Amino acid sequence: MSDLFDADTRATLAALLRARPTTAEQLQHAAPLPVARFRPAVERLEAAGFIERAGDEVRVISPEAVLAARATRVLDEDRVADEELAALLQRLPGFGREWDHVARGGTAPLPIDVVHGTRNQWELWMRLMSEAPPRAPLAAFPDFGGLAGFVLENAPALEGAAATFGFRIRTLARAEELADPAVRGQVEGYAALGLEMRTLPALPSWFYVDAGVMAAMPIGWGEAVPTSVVVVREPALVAPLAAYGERMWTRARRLPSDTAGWEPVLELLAQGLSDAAVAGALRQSVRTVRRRIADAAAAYGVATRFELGIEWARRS
Amino acid sequence: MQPEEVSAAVRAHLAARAARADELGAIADLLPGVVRDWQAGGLEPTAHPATEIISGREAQWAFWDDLLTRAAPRNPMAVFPDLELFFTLFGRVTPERSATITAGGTRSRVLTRAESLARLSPAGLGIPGIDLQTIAIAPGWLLVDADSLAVLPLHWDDPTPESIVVTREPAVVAALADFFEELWLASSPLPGAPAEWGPALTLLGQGLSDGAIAASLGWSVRTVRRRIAEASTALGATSRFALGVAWARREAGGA
Repeated sequence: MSDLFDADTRATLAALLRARPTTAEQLQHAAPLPVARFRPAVERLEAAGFIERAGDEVRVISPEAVLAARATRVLDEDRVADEELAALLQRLPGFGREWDHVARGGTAPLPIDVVHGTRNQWELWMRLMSEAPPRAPLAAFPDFGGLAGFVLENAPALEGAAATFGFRIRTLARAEELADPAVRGQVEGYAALGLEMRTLPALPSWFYVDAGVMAAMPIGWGEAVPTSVVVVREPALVAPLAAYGERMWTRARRLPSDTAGWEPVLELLAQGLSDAAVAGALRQSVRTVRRRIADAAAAYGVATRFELGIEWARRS
Repeated sequence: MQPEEVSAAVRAHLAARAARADELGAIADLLPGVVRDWQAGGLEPTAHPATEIISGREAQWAFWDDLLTRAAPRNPMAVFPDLELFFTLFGRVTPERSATITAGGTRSRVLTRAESLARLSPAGLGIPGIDLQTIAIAPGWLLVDADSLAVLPLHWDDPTPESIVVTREPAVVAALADFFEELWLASSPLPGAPAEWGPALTLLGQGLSDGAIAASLGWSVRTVRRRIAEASTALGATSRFALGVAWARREAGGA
């Protein structure tokens, strides 16, 4: 640890702290050293803030206050230095990515792109359409309520593209969302656009697949509304991802019909909805839902919900 | 607080700062080298560092050998529509490699088509550290180690590919791992290793209560409920009705 002051200054400080002179004359009397060494020591102490002098008046300041101020200043400098260093280090990965991007720009088209922000993702999709027209696109929306609004806002562009390239978008949503009144309105808007929709009890992540064309998924797989999207066009990667999507689509169920009776009730019940959620989705009372379930059980001659599930699955 | 304590605390703080300073110094020393390495890596002709194509038998064997000798996989899973390729690969697994693969109790899960079992003796299927199940329709072959990499044929429906694609793109690896989970959910255990919850569901389907099932199987009611809960997890069902539907569909699909 380096010393703040030399021996003369420390000796002078000790003497002045003890004597606490208030006048120039008292200051000279307190000198523990010859004047030639005492004067520069006093000047250093004054510069460091231990003594204040105005004309004939002298004031010795509490050393705690002086050192506390000095420590604060050092720590402050330290903090600023740390922040500067952190900012400097943060630039490194960016440096790497920028370089990588530039380096790859000279080679073959990128098989994997990363796009940030919903608006940019949409624009990229629209641009890619002209390069490689969609064939049988399939999109999974684990948060249908959160994303349908964006699609509906951009419906004219989507309808135009669908008419130009002759494709139909298929959308997967979570069955539970059907119980949300706001989502029901969006589902109707979707149907009006001619977008086909099916539901599953659960969806692993937002994704978009189109066999033979492209696949897109959130950079962090599992996001319901993607912040940044990885776009894959390498056929070897698109094929299994599309197979995954198609498998889910096959397993997914069409929206329940508007018909009365137990059929739509059991359809939603099979997708894991509670009685109350089924009631919400079908705009019925919970009592009606339970009556429909009881009607079905009586018709199939079963006593428990498990048996009813087996019977209903066998017959449909 | 005593001045001595303050003094000790300050000294400790300064020692920590000195350690940080040393670490930063070490980082600074390391930096130019690793940046050069990174730049050199980007100059490789492969278009994306996260995805590479490996062509030809020799290169593929070199890749598999490298993969099998490196660190233990975390959560290995594979689909082999035909077990031939799997056994060819497995034949290259020496005891030392086997120890690497199963280190830390890691179990590998392998899915295959039921037909491919017909050509094998049942004794050939009991491989330590590997859970083998069958599925009605297996898509292409696929090997995923969650959080690490995925290996695919260059052409998805090529059973013995000339070229393979290895991707380390995290989003793609995670998606393919979920694809495997979806297939695993729909798969069945090998003949002779039926699911433990089978008898409970059969009786549940005949209208028996949990208590009656327990009595007829000689289980406790708690065991019955645990088996039913296991079945619900395995079939992805969240209610008894949904479990009945899932079970009936699976029985119909498996037949």
